[in-house]
Amino acid sequence: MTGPRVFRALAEDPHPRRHLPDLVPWVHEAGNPYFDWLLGDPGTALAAIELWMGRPSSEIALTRLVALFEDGRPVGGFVGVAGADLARCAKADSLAALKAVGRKGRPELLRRARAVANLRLAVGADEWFLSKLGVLEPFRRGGRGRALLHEFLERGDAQGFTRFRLDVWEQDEQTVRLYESAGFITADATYSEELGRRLLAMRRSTL
Amino acid sequence: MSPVSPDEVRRFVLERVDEPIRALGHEPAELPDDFDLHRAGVIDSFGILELITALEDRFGLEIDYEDLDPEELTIIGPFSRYVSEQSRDTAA
Repeated sequence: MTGPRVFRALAEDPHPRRHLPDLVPWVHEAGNPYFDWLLGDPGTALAAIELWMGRPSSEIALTRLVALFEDGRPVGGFVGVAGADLARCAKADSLAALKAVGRKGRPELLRRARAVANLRLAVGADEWFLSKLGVLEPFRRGGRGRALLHEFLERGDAQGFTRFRLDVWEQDEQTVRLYESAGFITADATYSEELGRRLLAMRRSTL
Repeated sequence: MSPVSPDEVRRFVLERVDEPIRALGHEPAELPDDFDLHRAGVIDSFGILELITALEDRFGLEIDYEDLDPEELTIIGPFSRYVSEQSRDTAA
């Protein structure tokens, strides 16, 4: 039997890096197939993700992550980012990507980055953006995804945000239904030839 | 690898983004030190990758950006000075 569920912002944790073994897997999965494709292979992607998560200026910095703890273990979480911060994050993450692939990997990284340069549609500076949301595989199908989404909305609301934004692959139908059930609607979509799938830009407003 | 001056870095960067800068109504030679290429819409995230790679290839550099505030990555003056300093440290 599991203990109570506790949401905790890792910015409040004195040693957040100790949770990386439980965080990186779902962050990796939440960002795929994009991560593995952009960086060339799962191994390079996982190394880059760890690098990104350790940098305070990264979009997926540990300090931005809210984890769901059960019996003292983070079984899932989400990353929320203010729209106004995303440009700064992009700069930091570009540098980290270059470092992760090394000089030999740069030409291909540049080619792929060019191919998806406009994949993510603009996020408004006044929007609370859901960068990543995920649950470790053994803990799925227990309402944890819904609980995390609710916590994401609550935390955005507590900061004064009235507009919420996220991206989701169209073929991830279960996740699309989850977001729709929380009031998100598809505002726009882009198609990636390289990845062979459509990315939905979803929005929710409390106004 | 020879050190490069901040002016050389600045000239290279502005030559590469000459067209979008002029399209925004700016004169490249008159841009202030604190002009942010990203904020002004001259360059996007992909453009940052391209610029860094092209810069390093042009001058034969291998720059460690670990100590650079990401915010200053696209601000002409600080970026030019950082690259110049790094090139001097590596050449020494």
